[in-house]
Order: sequence, then C-alpha cells, then structure tokens
Amino acid sequence: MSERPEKRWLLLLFAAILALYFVSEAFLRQATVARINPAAVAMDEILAGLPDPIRNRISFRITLLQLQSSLKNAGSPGSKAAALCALASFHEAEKTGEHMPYYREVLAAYKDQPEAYPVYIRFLFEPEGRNEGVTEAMFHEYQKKLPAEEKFYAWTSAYNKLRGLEDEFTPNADRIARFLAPLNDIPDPPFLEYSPLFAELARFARLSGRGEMAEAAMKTADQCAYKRSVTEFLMQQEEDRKYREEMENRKTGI
Amino acid sequence: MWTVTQLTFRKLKEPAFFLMLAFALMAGYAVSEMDPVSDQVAGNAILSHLLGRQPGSEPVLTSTFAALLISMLLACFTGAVEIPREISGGQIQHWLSKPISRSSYLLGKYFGILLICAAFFCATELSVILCHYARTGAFFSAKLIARQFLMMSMFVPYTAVILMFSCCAGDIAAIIFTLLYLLFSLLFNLIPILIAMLPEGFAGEVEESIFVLYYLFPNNLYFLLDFPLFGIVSGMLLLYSVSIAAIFLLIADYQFRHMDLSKRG
Repeated sequence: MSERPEKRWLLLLFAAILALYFVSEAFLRQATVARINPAAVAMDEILAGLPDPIRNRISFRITLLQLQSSLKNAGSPGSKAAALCALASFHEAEKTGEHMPYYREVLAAYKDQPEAYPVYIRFLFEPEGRNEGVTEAMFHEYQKKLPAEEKFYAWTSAYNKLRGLEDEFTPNADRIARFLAPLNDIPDPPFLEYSPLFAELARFARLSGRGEMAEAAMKTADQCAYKRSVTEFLMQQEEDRKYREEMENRKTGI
Repeated sequence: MWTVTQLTFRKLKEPAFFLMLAFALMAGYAVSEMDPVSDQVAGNAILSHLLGRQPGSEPVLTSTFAALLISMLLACFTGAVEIPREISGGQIQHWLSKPISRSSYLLGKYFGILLICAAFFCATELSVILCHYARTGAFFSAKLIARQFLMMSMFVPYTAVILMFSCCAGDIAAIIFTLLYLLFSLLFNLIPILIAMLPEGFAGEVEESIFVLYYLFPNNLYFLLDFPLFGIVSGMLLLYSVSIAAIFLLIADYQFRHMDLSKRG
C-alpha cells in the first residue's frame, strides 16, 4: 500500500531534479557562449574542436548550404548553370544520390550556357540510356559556342575522360582521332596548353591513317607552343577587370 | 547516517591516506606558483575565449586544478571500493542490522567520501597558500582563495557518480568505469558550446543526437569559468552540481535498494 505513493513521489522528485539540471545547464551554457565573440573565432577553429565524424558532417552541411545559397543568389543563366553544376558534382562526390535532378535541370534549361560544360563532360561517353542524351556530336556542336577559356577546359576534360576510358597501352586510335577531329576547326587556338592536345590528335590521326588531319594538327601544335598560357590569360583578364573598375571609379569620383 | 559518514571519514587515519596526503602537500608546494588556468590555455583560440579573465572575477589557479585532480583520483579509488568491499566483507550486514535504511547508509557513504575529498583538497590548497606566502611574503586575496574553494563544488557530482558505479559493479570495475566516464565527460565538454557558436541550422540533425549524448555527462568546463563569486552564475553552478549529484544518487539508491547483498557477500 505504501510502496506506490513512495514510488510516485520518487518519480516526481526525479522529474523535478531533471528539470533543475536542464535549466541550470542551459543557463550555464548560455553564459559560456556569451563570452565568445563569434567574429573573433574562425569557423575552422570551431570545427577543429569537434570530433572527426561530427566535423565531417558539419563541414558537409556548411558546403551544401554555401552551394545552395550561391544557387539562390545566382542571377544570370550562366551563374545558375555554374551553381547547379557545382551542387550536382558535390552531391555526386558525397554519394548522396541527389545529383541527377541538378544535372537534368542544367541540360533542360541551361544547356547552351558556357558554364554548363561540366554536365556534358559528366555524361559524355556514357552508354546509351545513361548519357541523358549527351552524345559526342552534341558535344562537338556545343563546343563551337564556347568562349576561349571554357572551350579549352571542355576539350581537356573531355579528352582526359576519354583517355581514362581507353586502354592505357592500346587505345582505340580511330575513336580518339574522330573525337578530337573538330579541334582542327578551331581558328588560331589561343593557349600554349593546346599544344599537347593537338600533338595527341596528330599522333592518333597518324595511327588511324588520317595523314592530312595529323599534319594539320601537328602544325597547330607547333604554333600553340608560342602562345601564352591559360594562367597568363587569366591574370591578364584580372588586370583588365581591375583597370576597368578603377576607370569606372574615377569617372564616378569614388 | 552521520555515523556512517563519520566512520567513512575516519579512514583518513589509515597509513595509505597519510602517504597520499603527504603526496598532495608536496604537489601543492610544486605547483603553488603556476599561472592561472586562463593563462595556461592562452594559445588555444576557443579555450582562451571561454576561460579568459573576466572583469570583477577571480581566476582558477593551476594549483587548484592540480589539487582537484589529486582529490578526484583519490575519491575514485576510495569511493569506488568502499561499498563493494563492505558487501564482500560482510560489514554491510552489520550496518543494516541497525535502525538505518539503505538510503541513509548510501547518503552516509556519499558524505563521508565527499568529506575525504574536501579534506585532501583543503590540505593541498593550504599547502599552496602557505608556500605562496613563504615565497612571496604575501597571502592571496580572500576573494581569490574563496574562488579556489568554490571548485570543491565539482566533488558534489563526481562523488555521486563514483557511488553509482560502485553500486552497479565490483570494486575494480567501478574504478575503471568511473575513470572511463570521467574521460568521456572531458570529450563532450566543448561540443555543445562549439555547436552553439555555429550559425543556426549548420549542425542540423547532428545537434539533437549529440545533445542526447552530452546530457549524459557533467560539463567540467563550467567549473573552470571565471565569474563573479556571488552572482547568478555561481548560484546556477551550485544548482547544476547538486542536481547532477541528486540524479546519480537516486539511480544509486534505486540500484542499492534492489541489490541482493547476501549473494554478493
């Protein structure tokens, strides 16, 4: 008879003590956090204090939120395509299984944008049914519309992917030559780094019995050896941008 | 209950305790002139913010930290074996044949071990204060000394933790579990503070699971903060210590009341 009320009282006491514990802990935690000026402590330092599994999950979340925020803030179709590509490749690298909708959105809405080239590279050379309709012919058409920098990146990425798929010692020379053939149509390739790409085209064209194509490619490879590098081009672009900004500021009197 | 406390405390007369006391006094002498804990962690970006000196507050001295560690280790070795040995030695039957309930016996043991810890801590602290006087010719300020003695509030939850483990396991197992528990509690100390500093929503679902784990351990960091001696924070700290101790004592009491003492004997 007396055990039940005692048990009830004990449970009530336990609940009251738990409540006191949570209240005092929350107060002390707030008092502790209030001491820290978050601006004075870098995010890296905060994360460094956490155990590995938690740090990785929080880092994942931070990157995801940053990518989602850049997609949200993207104004032009080009920046939207770039943000979608970044988000898709992040999801794919983290194996979340959520990458396809982003890739598909790029192909559906922004497939002509220069920033969309990573999507072409992603699906290029994939078997029918898994390539989302991206074919070599489609890539050849797309690359014609690209500006110098993106065109170079698209070609090198595509070539690297193709070489990765082919056997290292006995690659399919005909297939590689056919794929690289449109390189010869680029009028005056602007970068030094095109030189090895044209040299490769020349080699595989010769191996596959396309003498004329090989000769033209070799000639362009030699010409490219005297061009500036992509890094120099980017530095020049940055300097031009700064110069334009300064001129603009002078005009507006800032 | 007080008789149990008194008899537990009297164990200080044993030679092993005298040896430990001598060690504690020597340690007090060795660390008496060390900088406050806040200066020791100046190199750590987050800890220096957390434990940094606050205006109007007194710092925790490194010597106090050392005294705490020594006293807690002693509490662990004494407290964890106290009840299991009395069960296996049969003394528990003697106690419970008197008009004393199991809960009173447990509380008596709790206060006894708490007093042993306090005695060791006070001895080490006195050694630190006297050594400081001998070396510099000046005493620490009364406020600073009071702040050091407030650190004894840390014994309130830990003694309860030790007793809880000693009611659930044998003597050696209780020592191991207590030490492991203390180590794990150190691991979890910074986590909620770091998560609170992250922008809202960044920790996501991790936050909930980590807080569930966090609430299972006392946060030692709160005891080391610099705060005004008589203020709401110190009041909350005492409430925090007492509430944790009460939770663990209730669990220990439940376990002890349902224990078959004759079997273990």
